[in-house]
Amino acid sequence: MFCFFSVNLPFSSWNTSLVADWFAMIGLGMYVTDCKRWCKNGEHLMRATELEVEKELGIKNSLHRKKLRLAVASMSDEDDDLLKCAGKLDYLWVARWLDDIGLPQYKESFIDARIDGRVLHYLTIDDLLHLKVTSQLHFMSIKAAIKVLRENNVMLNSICLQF
Amino acid sequence: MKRRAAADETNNCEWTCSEVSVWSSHRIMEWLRSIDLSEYAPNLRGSGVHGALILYENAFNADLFATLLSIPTSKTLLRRHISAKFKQLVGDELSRAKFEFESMPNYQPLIPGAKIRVFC
Repeated sequence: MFCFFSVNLPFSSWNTSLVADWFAMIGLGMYVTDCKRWCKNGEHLMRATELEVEKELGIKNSLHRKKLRLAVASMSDEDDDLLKCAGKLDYLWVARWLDDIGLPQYKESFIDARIDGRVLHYLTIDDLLHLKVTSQLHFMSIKAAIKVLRENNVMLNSICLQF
Repeated sequence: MKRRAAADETNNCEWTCSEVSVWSSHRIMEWLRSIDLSEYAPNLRGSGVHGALILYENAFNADLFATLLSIPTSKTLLRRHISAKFKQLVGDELSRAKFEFESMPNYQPLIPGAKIRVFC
């Protein structure tokens, strides 16, 4: 994965091409064509309703929509340094994390849903059911592991982790 | 996350809570090997057992741990061994918290295969 270059423009001003590149970078590359066809600029995406995201961008997967929503929200923070390293908690990091917490059997469904650090932070029981986590014990495992990530400021600081 | 014991780490149970809280599933298996439970360690694969779950989930007690390891309840000596080591790992304060949780009137032990119950 490449490091996203520094863009000295607020996300709202990004043109179609930049937004499409960003889609690919965050793991939603399968929607790049739809993005290029429909999305005029960053602002357009920021204002898109849930319905538009589903119909115009063809994002039928509710977890992909959630991921996009959270990602767009994080880009809207004007104070954020736009130089973001792709080594942040992306969906591949989350897949490896599932190994670490002893739940490798869910890697496929988490990868399919592109669950990244942001989505993990806002994960609901409903989301877990969508991810085929039906076991009470496994739910507790994920809950406890997320608690530890928060405690160690892993989510808040979004540092590039070296294990 | 702590996946392996450090080269100079002894198993004198001198880990702090914050250390164990970042133990990965593999590190837990290593710990099991260090307390003579190597043959049961592989049973933890896919169980979701890691340091933070053991520490923070009050419903996670030594009994559940032994069951997840597939240690029959009939093996009382072995279960007592695991119970003692579990208490050492978790520490006094959390052991008390877990005990209090178990003593609550509506307490029901967690069954490994139990499904999430969603109340609408």
